[in-house]
Amino acid sequence: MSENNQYTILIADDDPDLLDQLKIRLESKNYTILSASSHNEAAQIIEERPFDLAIFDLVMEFQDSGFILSYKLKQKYPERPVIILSSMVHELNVQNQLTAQPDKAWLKADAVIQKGVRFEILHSEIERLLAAATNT
Amino acid sequence: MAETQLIKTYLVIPDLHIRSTIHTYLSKFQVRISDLHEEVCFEVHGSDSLKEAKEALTSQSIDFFIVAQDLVDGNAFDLFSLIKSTSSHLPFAFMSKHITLDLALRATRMGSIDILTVPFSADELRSVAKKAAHQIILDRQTKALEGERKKIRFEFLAVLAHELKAPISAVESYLQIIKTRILGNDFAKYDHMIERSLIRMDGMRRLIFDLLDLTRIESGQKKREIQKINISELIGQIIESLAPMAQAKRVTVMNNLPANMTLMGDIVELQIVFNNLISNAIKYNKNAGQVLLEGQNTGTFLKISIRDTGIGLSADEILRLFGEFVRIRNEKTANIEGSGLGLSIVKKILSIYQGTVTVQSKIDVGSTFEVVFPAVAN
Repeated sequence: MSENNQYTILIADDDPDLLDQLKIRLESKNYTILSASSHNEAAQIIEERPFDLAIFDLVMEFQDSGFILSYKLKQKYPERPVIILSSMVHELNVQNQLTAQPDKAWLKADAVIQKGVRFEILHSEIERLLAAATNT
Repeated sequence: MAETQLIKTYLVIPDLHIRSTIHTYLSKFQVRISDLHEEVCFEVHGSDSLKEAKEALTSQSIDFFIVAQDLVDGNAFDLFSLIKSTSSHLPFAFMSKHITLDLALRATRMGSIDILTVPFSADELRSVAKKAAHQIILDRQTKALEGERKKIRFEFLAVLAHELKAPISAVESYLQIIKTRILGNDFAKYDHMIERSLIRMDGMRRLIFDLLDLTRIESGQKKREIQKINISELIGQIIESLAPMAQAKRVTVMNNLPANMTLMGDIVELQIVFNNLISNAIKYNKNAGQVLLEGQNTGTFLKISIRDTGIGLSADEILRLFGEFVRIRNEKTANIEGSGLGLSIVKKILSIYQGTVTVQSKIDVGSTFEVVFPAVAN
């Protein structure tokens, strides 16, 4: 992937530090970032602004904010990739890459990743999903 | 009322008449152990031999043995040695037709809780049974409490580990960014991250202490000392201790409580309640804002209100406010750290007093928290 990419990523997390850190890291990889510090703010951006990929924190104002936002996004833009970040991936019992149809159909997200995972792993997943979306 | 506790009793007595008399008597005997608040009754089994007694010891969960000196295939001390080697807590009593001082001393040294000398009265038998029951019930209650303590300790650690994940991750991530100089070599660009890391560390510290408070309240472990407390004086002391926090934001705190407002309560519990509410009123206030405390004693209830000119809460936020680990996160609260436990602790403490806490609020205008103690608490 070219370092001068033109992709815009929406990130939503109600932890202001984790949001800021993700923004800094993704901007260092030359992504344009739209950031939302709440479920409601993210929902508004989904309606009003264009972007290429979304990363949602699972638990914000609601225990399943990430799933709700993912569902809303997929209804409007089915091919736009979504990553959900959760501190309880093991307890959720879902695959990291939701390529299996039953999981994907239910969760409406393309990947669920453990919060605190190394940034390189998250970045590699972002690149994979953007490449797949570009090729469809 | 608690269920009657069953004491499984085993008689090792070759004399069939004595054994069946004790069997009949104890099976109908029910007694209250007053200091432990328990009722007990007895389920009685028996035999004449050491061999059968040993089998019962290993397979039947016996709580108490009454053992005659001479058995068909051994003696009482053989069984006592076995009991001591398998369970140091299992009580047993020694029974003899020809008691001597030596025998009595030997039985006592081996741990016999009492000695029944044949012939013995119903009162003497009752006394031995009650003594055994007291020891058994005490042992059961101690084990249950230890189990409960372990469970609470485990839950405390599990919750703490979960809640510490986010702040540890945040601080670690900031340090990684600083270490790899993602924003270049201008150190001023990292000042904000250092400041945020310190705030998150402070938050972790407060979380640990708040969780300890909550655990102590929920486990009932902390001994309560109920005394007459002057609420106005108590709140005055709390306001003084929070003066640096108020000064940092130029917030004025006014105590308009009537001077003679008193309450029967535990001072530490009430300190936690009012410290949480007043520190929140300062923390979530605007710069140069105000906090006003007022009170009313109607005879039926004691009402204390804490009003601030702070950032206020939405209707949605109010609904979530008293839950555990709820932090109201928006752009106004981004730099305010809290464990998310303070108000749930306040609510739990107030429930001990059959009191309540409610809030009315308007965004950007402020909030009024109202604490009510019923007359019985006064």
